Amino acid sequence: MLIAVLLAVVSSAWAEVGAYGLTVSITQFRLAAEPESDVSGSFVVLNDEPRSVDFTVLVVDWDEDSDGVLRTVSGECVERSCAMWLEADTRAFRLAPFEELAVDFTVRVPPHVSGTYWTGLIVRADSTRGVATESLIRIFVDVPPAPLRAAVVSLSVLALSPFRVVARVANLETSCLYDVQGLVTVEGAAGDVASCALLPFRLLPQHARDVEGVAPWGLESAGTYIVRLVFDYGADALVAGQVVVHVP
Amino acid sequence: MQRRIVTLVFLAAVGVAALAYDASVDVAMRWRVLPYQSLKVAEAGDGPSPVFVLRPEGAVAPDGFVESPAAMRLHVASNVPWQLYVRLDDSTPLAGLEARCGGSSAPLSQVPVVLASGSHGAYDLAVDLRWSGAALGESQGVRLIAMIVPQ
Repeated sequence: MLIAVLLAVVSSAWAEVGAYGLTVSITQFRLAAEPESDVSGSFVVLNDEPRSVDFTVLVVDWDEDSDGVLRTVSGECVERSCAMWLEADTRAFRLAPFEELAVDFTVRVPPHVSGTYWTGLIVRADSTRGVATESLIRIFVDVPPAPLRAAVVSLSVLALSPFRVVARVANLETSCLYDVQGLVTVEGAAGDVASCALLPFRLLPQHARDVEGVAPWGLESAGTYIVRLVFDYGADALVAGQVVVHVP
Repeated sequence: MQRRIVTLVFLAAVGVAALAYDASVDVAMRWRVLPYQSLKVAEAGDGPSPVFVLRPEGAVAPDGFVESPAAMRLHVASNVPWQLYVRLDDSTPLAGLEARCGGSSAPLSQVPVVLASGSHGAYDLAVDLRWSGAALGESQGVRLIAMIVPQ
């Protein structure tokens, strides 16, 4: 209902120019499953425009590079893909004006697996026009046990004013770290401390990510500083890296 | 009889609620908001034609490019941070087409490139196209795929 109200407000502004495309009700699933079990999900595809829309649902494998940029790849390339476990209705559909359709899918988890596996569904609004639109729905399947272990591989200071650092953080285990939070602190010789928080990010299993932090302040006074980057990734312990910076 | 019982139960409930008012407690409620996203393409051009063609139109500039400002207009609505990726359709192998959405131009190919990103909210995006080289000869129109991805 809330989505419908929001979309009604949004679409009213576009009513004059006309538009086509779709809305999906859920764009990410985190499914907990046991080995040799089935787990299901469902989302709604909504056409809130006054014209019919043809769409298809496609199974797609995706991965992320160290900058967090998405790559859609073939199923053979992603080691922890669960595309082969996924059963979804991948027919072509047509939605009448202001019609919605629930799309169901099931993940059949095989025996003897553990950790996080992932795949995706793409909802493509097909069109004879020059642009087709797609929405990616990420699907994660977590199978216990879920060990968590991360490390700061490197830490570099990019600029002093405003202060910028970049760290490479690695997920060393087979479970996804869904919410990694980082904090940069800079400590001067006099014990003065400045800090800034990084934007939370996700770290796929056995992946590394380059995370950049930009502080609203700079290191302008001469001296020696200790720069620390601390990450909380949901485990009992934190991970951190540090470097010493000399400002002439 | 049944109505009387219902009335008594109702009055009892109101009485209990009134007594509980003095001994009220704070209750914390939480719920999860599921991420949803919407991506739409605005109709471009005037007239009733249902065919939206992306092709180079206009004179070639001295630098060898044809610019198509705001060649496509997209609308994004999302309650989570998002990224917009754009690529050429698989049936459109073409070199010399670039796209820009506020920042610098990115060459388009079958590999998706990030053209825009944002936090939660509603956004109207104008995408400029820049044609050069082989793309200048594209008279039938190219087909692009715009994909929205939750971050």
